[in-house]
Amino acid sequence: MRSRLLLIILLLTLVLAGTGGAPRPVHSSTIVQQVDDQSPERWREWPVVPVLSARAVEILNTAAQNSALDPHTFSKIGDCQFTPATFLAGYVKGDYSLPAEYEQTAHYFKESMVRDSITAANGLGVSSVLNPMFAAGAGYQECFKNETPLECELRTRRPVVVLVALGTNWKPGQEITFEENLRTVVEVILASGALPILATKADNIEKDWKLNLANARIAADYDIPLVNVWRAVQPLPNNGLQAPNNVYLTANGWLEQNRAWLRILDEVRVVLEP
Amino acid sequence: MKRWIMVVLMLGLCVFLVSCSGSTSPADVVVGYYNALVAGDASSLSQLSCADWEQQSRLMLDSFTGVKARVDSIACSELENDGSNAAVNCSGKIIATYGTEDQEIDLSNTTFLLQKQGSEWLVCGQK
Repeated sequence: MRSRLLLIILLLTLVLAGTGGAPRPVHSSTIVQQVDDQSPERWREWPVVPVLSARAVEILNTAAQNSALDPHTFSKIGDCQFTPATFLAGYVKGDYSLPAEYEQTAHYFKESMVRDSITAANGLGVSSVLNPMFAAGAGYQECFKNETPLECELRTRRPVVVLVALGTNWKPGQEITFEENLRTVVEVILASGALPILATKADNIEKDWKLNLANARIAADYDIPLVNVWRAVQPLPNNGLQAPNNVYLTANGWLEQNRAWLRILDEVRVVLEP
Repeated sequence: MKRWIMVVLMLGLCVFLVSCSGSTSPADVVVGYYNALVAGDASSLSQLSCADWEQQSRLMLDSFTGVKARVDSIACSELENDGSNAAVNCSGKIIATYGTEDQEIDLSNTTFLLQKQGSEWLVCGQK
């Protein structure tokens, strides 16, 4: 009887030891974790500035050899937060302090940093850049009558890189068309030979982060870079958004956004100008 | 009394003839299309579009999401009309307001292509 009791105690001890707090091998769970971190659903954990993938580098290398493109030019697609008044131009004009390690990059892309894009203006959204009415009709004389703002921008500026920050001008029910149209935008850019770089947005006007998920899903599907602006502004008061509407970035939010984009442009410049 | 009856009958006949005389003109359809576009009226826009053009109409509707838009001084005319197909161009503009800033979109850059389907003219393309 006593030996049976001892045997039961021994077995229980072994079972408890197996489920207890002792360290476990981490190899398999680490691998799973790494895979999961790349999934679009976990876009919040994606780095603020990614390392360019092999495919992105290949696109840039091909673009650099393409005489139809200007290796010093990037284009912008976005709303008022992507116009020179708030986006990047300050580095060239001296409005923001430019870290010494990025001087070469600011110099390399200086004309694009201060120039307006047909595809970055007040109130523009992903559908607007695909609607010809917002090109020639909106006064851009360089655009053909039936050309979309996106086609006109790519034809007239010949960029090697296109920075895409869309989603803030949105209304309920547009999730599906947003993703469809953004895929169209990405495909048009890729067809031109340029590298599209997407971004998350800081706001959550859609309430459930669907648009950032769409941005991440497209970046993953096409293996193109995504600048995680949302993550960059999280340490700021009110997460870098102007209260009470929480739609547009604060001045410090703009600075963080600019810094993130400057860093990815630096990676791009290193590939284009080895 | 007889005269009043005649007047009422004539008015009724006119209403009948107008309602049965065929569809709205291609130019009127395009005016309605622009008005639906700036009003965000997806249902009317869909009714005025060919099935193949509905997706583009939806894109055009979505493209005004970020602004308040209105049509100003619109006047549309037919460039072509062979009874089955028509091309319509308009003068005037859409004024898209963002905050306090107005952007003018000149309508003369856009020519819509229409087809007669049944008795209705529908917007089916753009050139």
